[in-house]
Amino acid sequence: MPRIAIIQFPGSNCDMDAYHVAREVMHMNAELVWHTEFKETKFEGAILPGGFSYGDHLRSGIIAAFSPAMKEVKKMNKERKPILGICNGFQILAEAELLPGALLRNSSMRFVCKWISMKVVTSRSPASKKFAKGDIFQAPTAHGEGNYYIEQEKLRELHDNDQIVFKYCNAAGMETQDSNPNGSLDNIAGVCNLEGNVVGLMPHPERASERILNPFKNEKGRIVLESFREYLQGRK
Amino acid sequence: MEKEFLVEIVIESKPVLKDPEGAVIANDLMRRHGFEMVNGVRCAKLLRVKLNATDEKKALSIAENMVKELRLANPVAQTYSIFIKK
Repeated sequence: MPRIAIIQFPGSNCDMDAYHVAREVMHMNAELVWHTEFKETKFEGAILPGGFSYGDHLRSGIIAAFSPAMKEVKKMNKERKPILGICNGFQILAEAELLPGALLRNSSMRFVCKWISMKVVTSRSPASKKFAKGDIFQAPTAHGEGNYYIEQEKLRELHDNDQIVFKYCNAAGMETQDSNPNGSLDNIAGVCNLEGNVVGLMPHPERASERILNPFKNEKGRIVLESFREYLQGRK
Repeated sequence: MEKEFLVEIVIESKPVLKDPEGAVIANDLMRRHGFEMVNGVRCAKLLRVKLNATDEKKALSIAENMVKELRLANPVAQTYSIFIKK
C-alpha cells in the first residue's frame, strides 16, 4: 500500500485528526513525520495538516514554507505525487509557491469557526477525484486568514486551466456573499496547481469524514480523503 | 570594517487591496470616538532589523535581498519599503 506522510511543523495541531482519518477511516498507510525528518523518497503522497505553524508569525505559513521539509515536498511535486494542504497546509503551499495566490486576513477581521458548504468545481485534483463536478458537501472552517486572493490576470488563468477546485456556496449550491466565510475572491475555497497533483483548501475535510462529527448527519466530507486515496492508487 | 545598522522594513497590503484592519481602526475606533477628521487608515507591519554591514548601501542591499529571498513581503498581496534609521 502506498505510504503517505502527514508532515508536522512546530505548531501544527490538526495532524492527529488527519492521521486518524487517513489511517482509521480511509485505511491508508499514513505516518506522522516531523518536518526536519521528512524525506520524500519514502512516500507516495503527503498531507500538510492544519494548525498554527510557527505561531503564524510574520504570516501564516511563511516560516514553514522555508522548512527543509518543503524542499522535499517540491521534489515530490516534480514527480507529480499527490500533495494535500488543509488550512495552514494550504497557506504553507501558497507561500512555498506550490499553489497560486495568497491567503489573507478574513475580511470580517474575525476568526471564523463554523460549518460551511462547498461545491466541487473540478474533479481532477487529489481532493476531488471521487466527486462529480457540482457536488455539494459541508465541512467546518476554523481560520483567521482564509481570504483567498490572486491578481486578476492570474484568476483568469485559474479559470482557463481548471485550477479552482472548491467554492463556498449555500446549501443549494449558489455562490453567495453570505455563504463566503472569509471574503475570498470568487468564493474560492480551494485550488490546485496547473498539473493538478497539488491541492489546498481552507475548510477541514478530516473533521467532516465521520457521521458522528457531522451536524448534517452525512459523511460526504469523507470523499475528499477518499479522493486522495483514489488518486494515490491510480498512480501505481 | 563592519558597523551595526538599524534597517526598517515596512510591509503593507498592495494599494489595490482593501485593508479591513485599517478600515475598522479608522471607522470603529477613530471616527466613532471624536476623530471624524480621519479619512482612512492602512496597517503595515514594521520589522526593525539590526544587521552588520560595511556601509549603508550594503545594509540596504542585504535588506532588499532578505525581502526577496525570504518572501518577507508576499509578492501576490504586499508591497514593502526599506529605510535606514539614522
